[in-house]
Amino acid sequence: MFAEARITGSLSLSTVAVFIRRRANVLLLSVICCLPAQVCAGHPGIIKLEDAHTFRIDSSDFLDAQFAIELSSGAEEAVQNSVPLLFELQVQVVEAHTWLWDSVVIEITERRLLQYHALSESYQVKDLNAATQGNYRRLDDALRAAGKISNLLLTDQSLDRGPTYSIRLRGSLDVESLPTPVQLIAYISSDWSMVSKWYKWQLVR
Amino acid sequence: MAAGSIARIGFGVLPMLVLFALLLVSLSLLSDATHNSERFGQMYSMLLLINAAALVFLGALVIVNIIGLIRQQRMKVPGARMTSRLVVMFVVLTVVPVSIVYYFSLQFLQRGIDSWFDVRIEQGLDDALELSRAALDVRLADILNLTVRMAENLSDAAPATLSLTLYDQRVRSGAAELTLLGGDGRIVASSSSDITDIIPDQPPGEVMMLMRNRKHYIGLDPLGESGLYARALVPVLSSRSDSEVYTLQALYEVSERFSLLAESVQSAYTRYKELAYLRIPLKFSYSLTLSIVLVLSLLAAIWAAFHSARRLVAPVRDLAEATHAVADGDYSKRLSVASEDELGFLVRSFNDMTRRLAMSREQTVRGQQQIEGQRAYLEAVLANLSSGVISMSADSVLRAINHTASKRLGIDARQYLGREMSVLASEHAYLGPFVDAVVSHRSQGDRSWEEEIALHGAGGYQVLMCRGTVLGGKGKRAGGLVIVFDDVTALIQAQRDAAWGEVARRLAHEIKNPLTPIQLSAERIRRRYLGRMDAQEAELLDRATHTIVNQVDAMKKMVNAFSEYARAPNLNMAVMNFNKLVDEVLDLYRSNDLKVDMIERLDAENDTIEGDAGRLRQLLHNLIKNALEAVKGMPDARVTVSTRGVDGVKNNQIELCVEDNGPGFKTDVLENIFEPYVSTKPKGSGLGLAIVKKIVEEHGGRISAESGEAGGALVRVQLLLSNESRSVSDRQALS
Repeated sequence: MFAEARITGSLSLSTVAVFIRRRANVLLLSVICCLPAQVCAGHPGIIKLEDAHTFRIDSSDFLDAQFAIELSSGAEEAVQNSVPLLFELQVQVVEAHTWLWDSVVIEITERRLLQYHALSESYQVKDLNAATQGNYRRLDDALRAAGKISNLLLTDQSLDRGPTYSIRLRGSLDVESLPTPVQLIAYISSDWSMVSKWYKWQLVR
Repeated sequence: MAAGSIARIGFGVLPMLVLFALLLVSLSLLSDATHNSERFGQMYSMLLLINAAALVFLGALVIVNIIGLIRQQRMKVPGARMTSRLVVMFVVLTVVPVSIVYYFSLQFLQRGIDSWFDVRIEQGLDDALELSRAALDVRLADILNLTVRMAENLSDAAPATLSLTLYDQRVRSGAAELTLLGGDGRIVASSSSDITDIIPDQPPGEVMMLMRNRKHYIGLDPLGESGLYARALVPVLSSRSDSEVYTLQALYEVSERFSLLAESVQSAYTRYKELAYLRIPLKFSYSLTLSIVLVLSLLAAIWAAFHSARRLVAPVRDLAEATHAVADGDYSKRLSVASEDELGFLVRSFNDMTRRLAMSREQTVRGQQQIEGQRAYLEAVLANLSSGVISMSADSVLRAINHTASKRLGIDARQYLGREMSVLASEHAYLGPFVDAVVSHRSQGDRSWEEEIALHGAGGYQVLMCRGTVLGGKGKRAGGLVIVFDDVTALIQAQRDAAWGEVARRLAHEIKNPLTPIQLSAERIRRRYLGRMDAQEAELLDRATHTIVNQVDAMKKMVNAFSEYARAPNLNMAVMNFNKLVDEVLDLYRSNDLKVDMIERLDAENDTIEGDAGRLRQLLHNLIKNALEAVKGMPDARVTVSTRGVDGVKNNQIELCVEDNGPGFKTDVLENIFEPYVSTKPKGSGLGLAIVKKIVEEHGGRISAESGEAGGALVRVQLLLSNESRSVSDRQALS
């Protein structure tokens, strides 16, 4: 019952919008501010899709995916200092039209909160959607857990079988959820700009 | 002053106030967002963007204002310099205190935030965490030991009884959950105190890795909201060598008190760590917010400075423009009173001033118009006055000469106005008597005088009746003199003519009438008694009656001649060529054998005159006859008749000269040579030159007699050319 998934990268409008907004902010703020040293240091953060596939069980489509998340040195420092990071893994089922814009049929955002627990010296990853939590001694394990989507129900019988659907996938660090002082720096600094491109592939049924 | 009006760059006050209020709200929200991320944290970036946009807008507004002001200053728009000075003053007044406040605020901010953090507090929190860990570690060690013992107990249990054994062990040990895991991580058996929890909690992958090496694991796991759990994993070593190695996972609930305390320490530590980490970004965001507030306030203040400077300067500029207009003579300028302060008072005063100025100017103009009217009236009266009027100042400078005066005196009035009167005499010798009379009366101090002055001027012989009056009063005209004169030449002439006519009438009546009876009586006596008397007596009678008849005849001739002289002329004036007339008359004399050298030199180019040809012929005859008689019998007798053009004062005249080389005039008779019965000839009526003079005067001309350079007599007659015939006609009419 497994269907092969083809992964393609594409740039959508919403990506452009986010990009423009952030760039505009960067431009604006860099003009009026002098940046603190913290802003431009260390290696950049990366979020990319490592593996993704859909499968069918009883005419419903499910998604398994794994994002590889590498924190930038600034973000890592923030985590070590008990600043919670919220990762958003956006999943969209898109109906393709020939002449019109693609319409999003289903949109699911998986939100994962990563936080350091000093007492147990472990990293907690809370799945805010499922309200579950995992504890990890190592940051890498915590990040893998944060970037993991498993058994996510995408479609069911109610979805029309006629048109072709595509899956779009993107992971990002939610800057808006950061503490306000860090937000400001996050807007300015590329160090905090952690967003993957949209990965898109056709849902084969 | 279109250029003067300053272009209003910017907006009205109300929209700007609304904008500033919104800006203030946005700034306060921004500041709130900086403080409390819960409420406005989500809006922070939006607020920042809004404020940045406001910043750009205000900045652009200020730049536009500055550029406008610079341009106005270059164009020298009134008020621009004052506006810029005020703006600079306001900006300096704003920038300096705001900058100082900003500097110290930044300092306080940096130090204040730094002062929140203390090494000792940090150390204390670290120690508290460590203490919590140490306290938990003791408990964890107990749990591990307990789990190890349970694992030993389980090692010998039969697979079928594993679940029961697990349950038994759990109840006895007080664990929350016991799970037996296979080598591949699968759940072999499980027992939980929470009956709702069907799926047992799985250990993390890294722990399972540890288990493969058959090692013990004890760790603390925060499990969601249900507090802290101790997780212990111990391998269950079976006595059977072939059997699979299981792992026992035991989850113990940490006691509630422990859990609460530990969680409290943990959260305090986390919060402190987070805050310590956020210190620098916090300072940065506070500084940024403060800077935005500062820059916005400054820009708003600068704009407000522009606005208020313009408002302050506007009435001053209007005043300046209006003053300029008043200086240029526009008194209609009125300014609107916009305020009740000192400027309003100034504007009101200015309006009063311009109104009064306008009124006084109107009055002045009206007065001037009246004066002009009076002067024009006076000038018209003077110009049309038949009397000549001359006025002069106390120092004898000519002030006014009316048209008649300039015509009578033969001068161009404009040349002499503002000059001394004596100039008249020096430039026109014939005016000498006139000037002398005036001067002599002035020197005598006569306030009012009257004198008849005779002039031989351009218009011929003139007798002027002058009346002088010294002006009184105290003005600048005081001490001046007004001379009014009339030309009484014609009047005198007419009077004289009338007198002579009366004489002639009387002569005719009293003398000529008795002469005829006398003559007739003498002739009758002669006829009656000549034949009866003897020859001697007859001869006496004859001689006596002859004498009577002859003398009576002579007397008759004399009376006739005098009548002829005194008779009022009846002139037939006509335009003629004087040279031609002279030539015709001379022809009569040339044809006779006179043995006199008649020289004719008619040089006058313009000889058109208006006159009575018969009278003028008589004039020529009289003059030529006189000359011929004077040279009669002389060996080289010569009579020269010449004409030439003479430039009068303002009109051309023709001059006739009759000159002989005879004995000339005697000096004693020269003065009265033209009076009747004055003669140098032994025979003659004594009326020849008198008639000549009369004819000349009838034609408005001048006559003079003088002795020639080489003896002989010279008579000059000057007659007006025909363009002056009008004055001649006037004379004629008068006489």
